[in-house]
Amino acid sequence: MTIKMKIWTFVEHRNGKIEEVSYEMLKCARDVADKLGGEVTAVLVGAKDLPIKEIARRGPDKILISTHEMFDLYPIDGISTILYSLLSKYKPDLFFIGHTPTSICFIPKIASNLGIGMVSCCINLKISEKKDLVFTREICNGKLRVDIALKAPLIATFLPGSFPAMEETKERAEIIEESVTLDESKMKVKLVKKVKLPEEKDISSAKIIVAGGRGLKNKESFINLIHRLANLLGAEVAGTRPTRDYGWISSERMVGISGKTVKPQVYIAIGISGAPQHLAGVRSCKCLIAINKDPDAPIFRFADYGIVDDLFKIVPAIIDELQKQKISY
Amino acid sequence: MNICVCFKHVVDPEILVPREKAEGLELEGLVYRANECDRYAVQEALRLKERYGGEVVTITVGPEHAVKTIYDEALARGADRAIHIICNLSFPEDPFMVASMIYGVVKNEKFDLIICGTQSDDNTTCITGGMLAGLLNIPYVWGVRKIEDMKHGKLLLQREVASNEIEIVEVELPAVLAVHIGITELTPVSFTSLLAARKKQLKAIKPEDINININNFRVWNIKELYIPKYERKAIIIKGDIKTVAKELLNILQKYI
Repeated sequence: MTIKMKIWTFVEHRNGKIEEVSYEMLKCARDVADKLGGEVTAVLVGAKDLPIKEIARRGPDKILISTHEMFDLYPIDGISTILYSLLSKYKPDLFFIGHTPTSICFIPKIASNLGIGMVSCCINLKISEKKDLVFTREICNGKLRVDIALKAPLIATFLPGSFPAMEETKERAEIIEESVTLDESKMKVKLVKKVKLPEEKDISSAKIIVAGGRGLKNKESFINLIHRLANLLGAEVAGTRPTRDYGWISSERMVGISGKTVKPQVYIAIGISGAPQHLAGVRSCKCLIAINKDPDAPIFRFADYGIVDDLFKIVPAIIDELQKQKISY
Repeated sequence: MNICVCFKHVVDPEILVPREKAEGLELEGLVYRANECDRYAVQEALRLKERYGGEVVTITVGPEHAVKTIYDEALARGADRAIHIICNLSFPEDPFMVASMIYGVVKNEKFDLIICGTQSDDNTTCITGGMLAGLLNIPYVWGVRKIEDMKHGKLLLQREVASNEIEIVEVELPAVLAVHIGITELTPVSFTSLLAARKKQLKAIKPEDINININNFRVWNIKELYIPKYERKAIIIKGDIKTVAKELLNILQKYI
């Protein structure tokens, strides 16, 4: 009899809502379990009211649950403590987690502390003929891909959108409840408060989006070129994570894994290199037009139309032409 | 407050040109520079030093030629001294190896705070700082947007959870923080500070000096490095600027 591989996934939920990537991790785990023989366990922890039913419908064989009122006050340390004890007790072979701003607060720390091998920001998982697990990641803004083999036990994080979500299926999960003792004197990261940032504009349903990246060089040219072009086209303005970090756009206009997912008819990407973290937010746009002077920019691999030229020449020319033609959009 | 900043010398992804040749993959345009978030990490450390006193030390794991980046970006920006662990790692490097080497050095120093960037521009694992915190067994927060205050050995900071949500958290020191670009304003580095930097202490060490055999820390077994395939068929619009602009508007009208 062969021993079944223990494949775990982490369920992330925020403000009562399960993150879509958690369903994607269940799909990834199920595929591996089907190929290598194994059972899928979803780990679900929180202060109270865990969304057990929703997870049970997505096909795990087991759901490990744990609740503690202190998880609200110490989310990072609380989750770390319970994961330390669960990983030490059950010793899973594989642990798949969505790469999110919250999960990476505790996962790498646990991995190195317990001496479990880890790989992050993966976009795919392949199983070799020898049944080795090979993880694919993109590096250098997506100009290169690297395939990395890791030995179990291992922890891997995947970018959101790397797998389809696990479809709904018949509930069969065995629910295992684990108690946890939290020693408040050992909790070092305390949540003081959550702040919702005001959103004046929701760009996720925009029909046309003009987005700019680091190639714009500064806020002035971002406004002069991106805003003006968007205005003339009746489009919404968006940007990459660096443009938000530099203060060129507000957070609500940031597209990518920690920002918005958009699905416009047309997405014009100007001075954007095409890092996987940004592309994750535009995968379902109908037509992507890229303008970049670097012919090797990864954005062209994802574009329907490309212009390889200096944006500081091409965008003013488009603006001129639009004004001349007086087309209204 | 004694602060250590993890400062990486990275491959500039924007200049890099990978080419598939008969002999295999060739990396043209292999130019190195300071990691963008790490420049902000140094600047933020200096801001904290100004307010609370102490020393700012940067630590870099990288090849010999990282020296220039350390002088021009870390020491010239204002760090008091730098430590350079000279090591030629295969590309992309295994984050656990890097974290283990940094751990080998910082465990012997008394730092109140270790700051690193949220990600490196070349390898983008986002986990080296977290692994270091795990080895040191001290608190860790990733995604710091702002350090607000320090009281009674605790830092009050803003952590980004999503584009529309932040958390205000209180962290007990010593701790490791991973900070985003934009945590503070970068000050331009002057020519005089570039010269002054060369007189500062830059300690070069080898992994064996801290009793580390890096191969014991290898987790990643790199199978292949390659150029990704096209996902969509990019039709390149060519011609003089006017023609290209007109053509683009024609395409737009088809979709809108």
